[in-house]
Amino acid sequence: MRTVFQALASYLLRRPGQLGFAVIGMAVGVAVIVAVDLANESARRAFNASLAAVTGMTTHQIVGGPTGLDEELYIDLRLKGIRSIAPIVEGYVTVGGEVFQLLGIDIFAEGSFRDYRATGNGLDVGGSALGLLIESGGVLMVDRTARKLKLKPGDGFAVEVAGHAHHAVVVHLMDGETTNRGLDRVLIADIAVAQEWLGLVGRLSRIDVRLSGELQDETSVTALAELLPADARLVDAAGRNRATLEMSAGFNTSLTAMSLLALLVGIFLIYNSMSFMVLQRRPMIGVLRALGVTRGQLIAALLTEGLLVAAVGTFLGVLLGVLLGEQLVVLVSRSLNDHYFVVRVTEVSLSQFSIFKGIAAGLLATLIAVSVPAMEAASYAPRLSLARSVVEERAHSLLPWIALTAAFMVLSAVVILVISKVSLVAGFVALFLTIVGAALLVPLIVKIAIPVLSMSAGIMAGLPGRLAVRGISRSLSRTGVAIAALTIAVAEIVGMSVMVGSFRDGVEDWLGNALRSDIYVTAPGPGGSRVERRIDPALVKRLVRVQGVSHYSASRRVWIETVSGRTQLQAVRMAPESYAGFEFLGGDPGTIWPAFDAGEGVLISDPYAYRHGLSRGDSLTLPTIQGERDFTVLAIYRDYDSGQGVVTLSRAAYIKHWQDQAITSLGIYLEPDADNGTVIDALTRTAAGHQALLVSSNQEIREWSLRIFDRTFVITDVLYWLAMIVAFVGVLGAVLALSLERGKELAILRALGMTRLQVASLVAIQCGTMGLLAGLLALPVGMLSGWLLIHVINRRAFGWQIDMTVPGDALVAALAIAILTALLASLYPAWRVTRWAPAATLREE
Amino acid sequence: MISTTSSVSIRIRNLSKSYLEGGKQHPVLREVNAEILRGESVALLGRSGSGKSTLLNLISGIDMPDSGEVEIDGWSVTTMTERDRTLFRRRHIGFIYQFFNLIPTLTVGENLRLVLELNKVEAEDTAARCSALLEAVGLNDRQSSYPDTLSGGEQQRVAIARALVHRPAVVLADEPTGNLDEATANDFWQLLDTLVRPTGGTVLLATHSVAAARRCDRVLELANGKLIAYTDNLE
Repeated sequence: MRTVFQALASYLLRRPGQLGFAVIGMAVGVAVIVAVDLANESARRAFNASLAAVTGMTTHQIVGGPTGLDEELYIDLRLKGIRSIAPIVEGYVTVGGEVFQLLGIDIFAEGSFRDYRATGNGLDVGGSALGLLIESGGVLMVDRTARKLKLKPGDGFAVEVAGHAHHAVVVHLMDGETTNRGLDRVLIADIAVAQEWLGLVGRLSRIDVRLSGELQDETSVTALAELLPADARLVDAAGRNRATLEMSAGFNTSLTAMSLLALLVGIFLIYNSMSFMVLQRRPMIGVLRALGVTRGQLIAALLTEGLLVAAVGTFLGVLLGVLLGEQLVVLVSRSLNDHYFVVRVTEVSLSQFSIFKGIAAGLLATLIAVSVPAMEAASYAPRLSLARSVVEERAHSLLPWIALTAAFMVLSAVVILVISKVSLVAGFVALFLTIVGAALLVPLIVKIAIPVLSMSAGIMAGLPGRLAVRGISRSLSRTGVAIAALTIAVAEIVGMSVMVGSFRDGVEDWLGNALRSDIYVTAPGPGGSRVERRIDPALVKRLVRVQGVSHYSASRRVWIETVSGRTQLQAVRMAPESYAGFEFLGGDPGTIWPAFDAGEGVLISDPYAYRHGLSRGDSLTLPTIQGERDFTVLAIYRDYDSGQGVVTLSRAAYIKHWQDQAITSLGIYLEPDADNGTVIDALTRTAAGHQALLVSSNQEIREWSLRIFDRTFVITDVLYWLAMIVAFVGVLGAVLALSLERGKELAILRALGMTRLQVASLVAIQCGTMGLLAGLLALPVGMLSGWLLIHVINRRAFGWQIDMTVPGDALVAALAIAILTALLASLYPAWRVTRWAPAATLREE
Repeated sequence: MISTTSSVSIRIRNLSKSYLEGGKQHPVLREVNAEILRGESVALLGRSGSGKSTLLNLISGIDMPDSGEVEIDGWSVTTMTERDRTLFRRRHIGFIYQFFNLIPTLTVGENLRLVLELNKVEAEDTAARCSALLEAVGLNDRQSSYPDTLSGGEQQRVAIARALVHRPAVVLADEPTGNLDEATANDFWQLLDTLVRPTGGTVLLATHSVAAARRCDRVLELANGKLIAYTDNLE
């Protein structure tokens, strides 16, 4: 057995180039898996650490409406004997352009909840944080953050909240390396300071509750809940954190799926390399079989060899994945910050599980990729192992079966889609089955297409052209797999281009329709629906009186806690033009708007309706200041603003139910003869000295929105280009293998009088044709996957409903990419064949 | 004895060639000199590994000698650039191999047409020449067949047709009957006589078979890298 293995392995070791391609392909495939997983995992861990640090020992939280709770509730509960509670005021602030979570605490209530250990003296918050009370504007931060902001205890700095600047002083530094990991983006202040800065005087964001041991039973929870007023609710802290994290689940799943797609391309590549390495040794395998090596021994030797190659590739892949992960984590955390929550991922956490997943994926992929050719080689009668034509004949005879398997996979995808309804994972399974099914059809389609292409090549490049093209069909066991790998990679580009293009078109149209005002005035700050983002009421009155302003719309966006999680609420005071900004997905605007204005119900965005299974006419329960109240869904409207969805109601109804008069943003409509720039200057001047508001033109808002949109998809671009690299290596390996295999044929052509350039052109024509075939096949496959991405994946992950558009330029670009990739991959093999001495090749034969 | 007459087709002067194997230079040809006249058929007799194929490769310009010179019809092949050697070979030399070496992805007809296309022969002339030659070798009805559907003898006939279709001045054959049975080998010799003799082409044929060598006008014997016999025939 050892000798059998040695015989097979020494052959490979004499061909380091081929071995190298197999290893590189696997390394890139595994690297993408590891990198995406590490990036996702690091972001998740950073966010979890931040939540854990802020949540501390809290088991439950008392939450209120958009503006939180009356602080009297806390005193009231303490007086009623509830001791394990701590009041919290929290919001987002900006320091030196960076966003921080501001946590206002009552240091005397904090002891049993959180342990903010300070550096040096080892005091807990009770000791070190006394300075918070003594020092006006005093804050605590972790030492790492202070170093980054170049601050030390006693230093003063500016904290900006919704356009207001406040003076803060570093009281103490907390140890960020051990006990306070996760507090990198948190500033801790006394509750009164936080109330003042966030504009929540007399209010609390929540009250943290610690029910320990036997107190956590249902009776205690119910008893506490019964003590609360109508506008307050007791929620499970862990569940609330989970819900926050789940907001980004669709995003993370999508990234993981895309990394798996790169591995899928990698599997094709590994299969191609390994099968080539097996098939190339068929004479040796024939001899070994003739000498009495059993099928089992042969399979075992080939699998062992494959796994050894896989071990090297996987090891390199993990190393590469960690390096790549460091880059991807920046993109992942940027997207999370743009769309979901504030998280600062300072480092890639080397999760053993992520690395294990990468190793398992690499080894499993190799096992699948090697076992097929190994079993095939072992199945030949010993004498047949010698014939190359037998291998190809067999490959050709398998085509109908492969096509049937493909049809079965596509059919399974349809069934899964119909049955699963909303499951995102099932959606991805269906997408994968469709893509793999389509890829399996590639060899059959290539076989059918080659005669036509051969004729065309013959017309254009004569017999050499025909010769090159026919070689593809003749070595279908090799070329078919390479073309399939390239098809998947290019289809991924097409699919993503169709999806992103359609999405972008949809967003652009929607922006054009929804943004009706000439100028927008907003209180700055992170998070569009944060309660602290409000324009001073007195300033609003002055702004709308600025010369050139005709009339205005106003909106308030806040989060409220409902039984089904956090809900984004939007209250609007409509200008006459604003009504046209809502595109209803059904219903008569003529009846909807009067009911809306009369406060008879709410409008819900399409993603909200999808996520909560709501239709027009259904009832939606929202917690108001007077307790829970049912609202009729008057209409569902198209919206691309929030994947979580938005509930919109009239400003009058909002004030009535939540008693919050604040305004988050104003939409200004100009007098017919007013100049945009002049009015923007006047509005900015009016706000100056009071509040640093964001005053932007309609055009600027659109551009900013599209910039955010584009940067969300940077990571997907990176991932599909990685898949292209894998495919490139695949084609390069296949062409190199083919040219090695066709060495004698090429030598004969040289002997017949073909110049080096002509022989190199043959290789290039063959590659170009493979690229053309892959590109042409990728277009329908890509369109289909684009359709699935739009109508299944996007819908299920984010709730968006997008009209599919076909970006013609993207399709042409994809075709060009396929051809160019293949031609690029042909350069080295083409150069190599020009170096061959035909005499040496003929002599070897 | 080296002739300098203008009827010399192939002239070989002091030709040496060695290969590097196992870190050592192994001489294959040592100071080989020969002249082959136009229209002559000459057998290059030698045992396996005696350097016959190497000599054919050097004559055709597929390979380059360590020293010495090869002239064909007055053209010095060994001083040409690689590209010129290729173009020269394309136009003036026809090759026949022991294992036929037909291009498997081209039909019988296309195997012939490829050589004419490379030589930029007009399409009409190409079709006529291919048909005529395939007719002559008895395979005109197999023009559209692929090589792997033909018998060994048929493949060798196609190889002859391919070697002659562009009317080369020199035909080089490397063990052309080594893979054929006696009857089929006889057919080969007849075809060579019928098709090459009338054109006045020169034939240089490498073989290890004395019987095959006897079919030629002259025999050059190669052993240990040298032409050790230079006879008119083996009688």
